[in-house]
Amino acid sequence: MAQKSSKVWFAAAGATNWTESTICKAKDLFYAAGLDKCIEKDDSVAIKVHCGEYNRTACLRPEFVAAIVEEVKACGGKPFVTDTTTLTYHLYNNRCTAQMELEGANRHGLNWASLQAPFIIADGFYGEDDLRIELPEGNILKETYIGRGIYEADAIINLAHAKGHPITAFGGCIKNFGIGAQSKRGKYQTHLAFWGDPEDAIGYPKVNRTACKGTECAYHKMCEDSCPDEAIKVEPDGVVLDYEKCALCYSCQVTCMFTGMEGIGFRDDYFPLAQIAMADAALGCVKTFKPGKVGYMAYAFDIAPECDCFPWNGIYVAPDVGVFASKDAVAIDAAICDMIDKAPIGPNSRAEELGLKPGEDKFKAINAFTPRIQLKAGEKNGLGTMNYELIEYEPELNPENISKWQIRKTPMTVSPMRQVFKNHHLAREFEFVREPLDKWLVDWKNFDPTA
Amino acid sequence: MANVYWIKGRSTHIQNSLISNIDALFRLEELATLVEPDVSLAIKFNLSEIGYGHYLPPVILGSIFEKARTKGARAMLTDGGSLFKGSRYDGYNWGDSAILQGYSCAELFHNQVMQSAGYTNEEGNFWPVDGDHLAGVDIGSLLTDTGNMIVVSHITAHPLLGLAGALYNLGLGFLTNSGKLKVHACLEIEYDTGICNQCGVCLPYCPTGAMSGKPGKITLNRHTCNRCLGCFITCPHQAIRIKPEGIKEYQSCVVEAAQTVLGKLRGKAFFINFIKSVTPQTDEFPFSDNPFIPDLGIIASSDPVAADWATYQMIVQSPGIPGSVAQDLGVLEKGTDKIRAITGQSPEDMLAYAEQIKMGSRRFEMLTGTGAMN
Repeated sequence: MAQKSSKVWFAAAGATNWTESTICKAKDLFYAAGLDKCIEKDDSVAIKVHCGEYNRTACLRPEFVAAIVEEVKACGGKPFVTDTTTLTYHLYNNRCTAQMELEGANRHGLNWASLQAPFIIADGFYGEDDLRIELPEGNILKETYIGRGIYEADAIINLAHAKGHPITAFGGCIKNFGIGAQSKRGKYQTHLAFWGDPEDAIGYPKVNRTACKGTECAYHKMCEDSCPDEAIKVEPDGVVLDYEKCALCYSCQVTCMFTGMEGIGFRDDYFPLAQIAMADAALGCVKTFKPGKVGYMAYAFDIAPECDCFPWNGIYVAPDVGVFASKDAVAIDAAICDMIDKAPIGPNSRAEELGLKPGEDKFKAINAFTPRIQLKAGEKNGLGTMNYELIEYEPELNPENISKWQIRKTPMTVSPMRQVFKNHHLAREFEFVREPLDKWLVDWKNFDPTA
Repeated sequence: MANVYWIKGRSTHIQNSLISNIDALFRLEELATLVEPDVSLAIKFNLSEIGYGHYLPPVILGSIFEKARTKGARAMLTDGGSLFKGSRYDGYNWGDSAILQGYSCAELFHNQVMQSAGYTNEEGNFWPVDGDHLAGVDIGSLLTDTGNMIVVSHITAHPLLGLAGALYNLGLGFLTNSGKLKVHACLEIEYDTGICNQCGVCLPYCPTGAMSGKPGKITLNRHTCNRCLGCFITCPHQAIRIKPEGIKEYQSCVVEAAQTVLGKLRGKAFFINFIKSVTPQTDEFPFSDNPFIPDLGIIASSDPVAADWATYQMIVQSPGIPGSVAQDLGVLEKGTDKIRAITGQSPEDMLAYAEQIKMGSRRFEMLTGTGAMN
C-alpha cells in the first residue's frame, strides 16, 4: 500500500542571475507550495518567526521576512510578524517580557520600518496571555497554551530558520510552533515542568555533585543570580536548590551550560522526551486554525549548530542549503534535516571537529540525539508525515521571470534614466583629464605581486 | 494636599520653548522619582483616530520618551484600541494609525509603542472594582505588570464626560474591549429615523452589525448594539444621541475604572495635561473642529482629580476663540463654561465622586512656572 506523502518544495541556495536571488526563490516557493491559498482577503495573518536573542547574528535577515510580508499583502491579507516571550532560561535573557523582546527585535531589524508590517509579541506583556487547547491526540502532552495573538489570527505562515538546538537537536517549523507559539504556560508544559518530582527529575534541574565546583566556580554568583525565584544558594561543596521554590524555568541549567560548566544540567532522557512534547505542542498551535490556513516555509541559511535563542552563534555546520515550503510541518522538517545531512561539512564547525562526513546525521552528532524523534512524534500525533516528495524548483531564466520580483517592472534604464540622460549625462558633460595609456599597457605588471 | 504645576502656554524665548517646558517637568520631584533606572515606565498617551486633525505633535511624546530613556527608565508608549470599528479597532490598523501620526516605532521609539491590551485588545484580566457602579472591569496586561506610569493627556471636550482629561485617559485607555463594554453598558443609543438621512456613513463603524442595512434601509437592532458609540461619533447629521439617563452612571463607572486601574499599578503615577489644541471632539473622533480656547500650557500633578479640576477651571476662566464653536454658542467671554455649553456636561460630578472615593482632591496648591524654572 502506497504511503501517503506530502509535497515539499525546495530551491537550493546559490545564485548566478536575477531570478535566483534567495528573495525571488522564496517568493516563487510561496506560490508554488500554495501558501497563497491559506489567505483570504482581509485575513489577519501571523508570520511566525524566531526573533533571536540579543547579540545573536545568525537569525533570519529582516528582508527574508519582509519578502513574505509583501506576498501576504499581495494576497489581500493583513500581515503581522510575531514571536512570543521566553522562559527566563538565562540571566542575561532579553526576551522574557514583551518590552525587552521588542527592543531586541528592533535591533535585529524586526520593526515596522524594515518589515512594513507590525512586529508584535503574541503572548502579551509577560507571556501569560493565552488560550488553552485540548490535545487528546498528543503523545505526552494532553493540553497546551497558545499565545493569544497567534490563536486569534485567521491564518499563519510558519517562517522558520533551520538550525540546531542543544535540547531538541534541531529547530525548524515544528519548533517554531512547538515552542515559539506557546505562551509561558505552554512553554512550561512543553519543557515537561513538574513532570515527576525532584527525585525523578525529568524537567527539574539535575545537579551534578562531582562536576559542580561550588563557591570555587568562577560563575557561582551568576548561578545564584540566575534564579528568578531565588531558589539557589551556592555552598563551598556545591549548589543547593530549594525544590519547593523551583519553577523549572531552566535559568540555572542554561546559565551553567552557557558558561561551559557542568554543575547543573538535564537528565539524559529528558532530551528525546522534550522533542516528543514539542511535536505535541506544535499540533496544539495548528489546531487553533481552520484547515487550510497554515503554511510553512523555512530558510536553511546560516545553519548554526545551536538555536537562535543563544546570545551568540557558532560556525555554520554546513554551507547554505536553500529555501523550503510546504503545507506539512513534519514533511518540511524531514526534508530540511535530510538536505542538511547531505550537505558538505562546514569548515571549522563543530561538525568538522567531530569528523562528520556528508550524509551523516549532523545534529545527532552535535547535539546527542537525532532530530528525527520530533518528526516521528509529529507523525504519530497527526501533525504530518515524514514521507515527503521533494519538488526541486529552479527558476527559469527569461525576461518575464527576471522582472517578476524586481522593485519596479519597467527597467530603470528605460525610465527614468533615459529622461535623465537627455537632460544631462555626466560622461559627456565635460572633459575628463586624460593621461596617455601607452606605457601602462606594460607597467601594470609592476602592480601584480604574483607575476 | 497635592501640588498642581502650571507651566504657562506662551513661549517667548528659548528657555521656555515647548521642549524646555517638558525638560522642566522632569525636574519636578513627583515626576523625577518615577523615572527610575531599570524600572518600567508606561507613558500613556491618546492615539488619535485617523481623520482627527488636532492631535498633539509627536515631538511631545517623543521628548518625554527620550528624556525618560536618557535617565535609564525602561519607557514605553501605550494606548488602548477602540471599541468601535474605526482606524484603531484591530491591531493591524492601530499600528498603521500610530505610524501615520508620527509615532514611528523603529526610529524614535525603539519598538516600544504597544497596545495596552495587546494586538487583539483582549489581552488582560478581570479585576473586581471596589465601588457601587461596577462589579469588576477587565484591564490590559500591560498596566498590571508595569512599574510606574506617566499619563500624558491631550485635553479636549468630551460629549459624555464634559472634559477629556486625566481621569478619562486613565479610566478607559487601559481597559480591554470586554472592560470597555462593562463601562459602556449603562449607555443607550437613541436613533432618530426622522433625522437620519440614510447616508450610511455609520455602517462600517458598527462592530456588531446592530446598525445595518444599506443607505435607504438602515435599521438599528437594540439587542445586538454593544454601545460602542461608533455610530454616535460618525453620524454627520446627529441622528444618533445618547439617552441622558445613562450618562451620570457612565461617568461614575469611568471614575471607578480609573480607580481600579490606579490600584493595579505596582508603582506610582504622574499626570500631565496638555491644554493645547483643545477641540470640541476627543482624539477618538474621525474629525476635529477648530480649538475653542487658546493654548493654556501644561498642568501637571500627582493627583489626577486636582489636575482635571485645575484644567477645567482654567478652561472656564479662559476666553474662547472667535470663529470656533465657542463663538457659535456665545461663550467667548472669560468665566463662561465652554465645556458645559459645548457638551451639556460638566466634569464637576465626576470629579466630586472621584474625590469622595479618595482618588484625589479638588483642593490643591497651584504653582506656576516656565521652562526656565529650577
